Amino acid sequence: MAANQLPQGISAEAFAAACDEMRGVVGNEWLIRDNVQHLNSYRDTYSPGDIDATAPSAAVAPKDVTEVQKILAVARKYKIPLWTVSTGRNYGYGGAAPRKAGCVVLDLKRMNRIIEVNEKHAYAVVEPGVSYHELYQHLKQRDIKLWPDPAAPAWGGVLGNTADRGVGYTPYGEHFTVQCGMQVVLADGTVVETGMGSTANASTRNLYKYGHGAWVDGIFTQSNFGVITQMGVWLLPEPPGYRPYMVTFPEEDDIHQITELVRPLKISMLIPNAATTVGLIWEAAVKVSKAQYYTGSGVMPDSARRKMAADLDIGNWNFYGALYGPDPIMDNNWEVIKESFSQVPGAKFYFAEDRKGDAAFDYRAKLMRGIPNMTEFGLLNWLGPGSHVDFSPMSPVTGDGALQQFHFMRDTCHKFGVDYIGEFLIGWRDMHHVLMLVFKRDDEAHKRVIKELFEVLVDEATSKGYGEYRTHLDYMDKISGTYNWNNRALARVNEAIKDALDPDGILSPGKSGIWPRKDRDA
Amino acid sequence: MSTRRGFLASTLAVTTVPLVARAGVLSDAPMVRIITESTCADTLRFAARFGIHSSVVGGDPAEYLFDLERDLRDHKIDLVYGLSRASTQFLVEQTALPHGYQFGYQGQHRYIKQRLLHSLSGTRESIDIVAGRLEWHTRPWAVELADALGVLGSSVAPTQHSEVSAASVIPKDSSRHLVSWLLRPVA
Repeated sequence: MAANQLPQGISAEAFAAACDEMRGVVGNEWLIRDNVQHLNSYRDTYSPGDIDATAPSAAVAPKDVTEVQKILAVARKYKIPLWTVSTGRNYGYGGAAPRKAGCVVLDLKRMNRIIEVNEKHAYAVVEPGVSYHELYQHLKQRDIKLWPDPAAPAWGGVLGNTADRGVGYTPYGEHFTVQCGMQVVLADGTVVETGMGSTANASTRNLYKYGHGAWVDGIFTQSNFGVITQMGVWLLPEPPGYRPYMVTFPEEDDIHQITELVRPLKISMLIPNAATTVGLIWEAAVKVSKAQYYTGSGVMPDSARRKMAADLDIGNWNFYGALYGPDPIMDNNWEVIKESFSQVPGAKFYFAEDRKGDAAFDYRAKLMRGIPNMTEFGLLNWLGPGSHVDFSPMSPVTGDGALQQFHFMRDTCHKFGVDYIGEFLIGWRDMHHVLMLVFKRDDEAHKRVIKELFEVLVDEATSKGYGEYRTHLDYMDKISGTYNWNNRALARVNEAIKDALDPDGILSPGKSGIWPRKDRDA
Repeated sequence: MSTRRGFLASTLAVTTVPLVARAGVLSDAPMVRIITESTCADTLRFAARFGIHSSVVGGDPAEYLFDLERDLRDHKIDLVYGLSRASTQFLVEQTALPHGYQFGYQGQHRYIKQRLLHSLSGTRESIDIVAGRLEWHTRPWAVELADALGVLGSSVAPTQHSEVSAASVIPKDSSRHLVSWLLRPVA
């Protein structure tokens, strides 16, 4: 690794002075510059690209809003760009690393208070440093019958994941849909409460999202217009019953019929949770490695795939859902769901008692039950010491859309000698198709293949009308560039807001392709 | 060279198993966190060397990772080492880095065409110790590795690389690829 760069256009003397002032705000321990090991933890070691291109110059970790305001004042004074992270564990999308080398990471992990849990109205208010694990433990230790909706990794931040429009697996799986109320610090230090929170003695701050007039919460997600310091999230009341299930399907092209069958079940909420249709290798790789079935080069051949599927008693597609509610309701819903999926030849049905000792079923069952865990990281052993970037286009919930996406993404991967490792997450009216591009962390040639493949996938998806919902640091500009209808009208709106709220361009430059004026001009 | 004289706890990826310290533990012994998994015969042999005989099937690192972070933050651990899948090593590394830890030794252990290849990184001294054990072993290699790691406490950042290989039958349950490591705080 090369030495860490200074922020662009900032002299060593000015940077040292800025660091001294920030140190004066947070204390010596929390201005991280000389502690190489600690500073390295802010690098994107998961990246297939050049990690020096996103290396921070330092990190600063305030403990409260007052310290955030003081840090922002220093940043404005010296024109130091900051890169805001919550828990900074968003590996696969960049971790804690900034989009641009030299930024100072504004690490909010010390702001880790659970401000409120309201049992009556089923919500929590959290600071940025609260992880899913911590919120879950907080509820469990107090025997509060409310469930969080965790993203797959337990160390992910509740606020950060919601702000990045991440998803989970319970009926509250679309996280931004169940967000209500924000506190945001603007670049000039102004603290803003959104929605009902801006009324005097606000009694519905975390109950009614919209308030009066323009509703602005959305502009602070996947963006760089402010620093979110509190967020309300609705929690799912524990249902009287819970039964996770899995349905396996034998053929690759079954994804068409599966998706057609799921759509009415989802829209009518007979399947209430954020259900997933998981591809063969994603399902298998938590438990086995590729080398156990195939030691040749390139894509795993069909014969080996079928052997692996048979050994593990899984399908080419594996649908996960859950029943929630009193037994009569679950029994009734299951009859409808089973009857629907039985139309697919070879469909097989499993409950928890049928999959004892199955690590893949176990972690999915936990996620759909609101229990955070870390099992999914096992996927990265597919090739040995692995890493990943995710390509995640949106799709309508149609068989044609699913099959078209699956075919072109699988075939493109195979042209590059890369296994298709994907899943479809079905939301309210959409599907997130997540393609996990796993690569060997210590193989530079393999990383180059993945980078080239990613570029081709973006171009191909765009030409077919599919946009990505979220992406890694290295691809933010490229994906942003695909949202270009009417001469970049949406991008120009974002730039106008950026220039108005952050004229010095100190907050997360380049986040989601939104650059401050000085960087655009350069 | 420090010796493995005490244990705070030991962990399987699937369950936390309190470890009874061996006889002769000294009060000022370095506190060592050992992390392994019940994924295959090799890791179970490694675990058994430390008195762990559990083989609960599962595999959620969340069951120990947050406790590890708390103990690292509270300076309750001097060394962390283990034998595991690579993903587990990554999680432990990312947990330990912010607390000033870095690798003093790393090994990759791969079954390739009826051979077992060990790729080692560390100081010359640490490589000699580990390689010597793995090259001339009479007991299962994971047992030799467990004993070797116990004497690497004074290692510094990896500076040398070495490979050792031997003919080997591939265990039926093997993932074909494991990693071993030692993390220590930077002075």
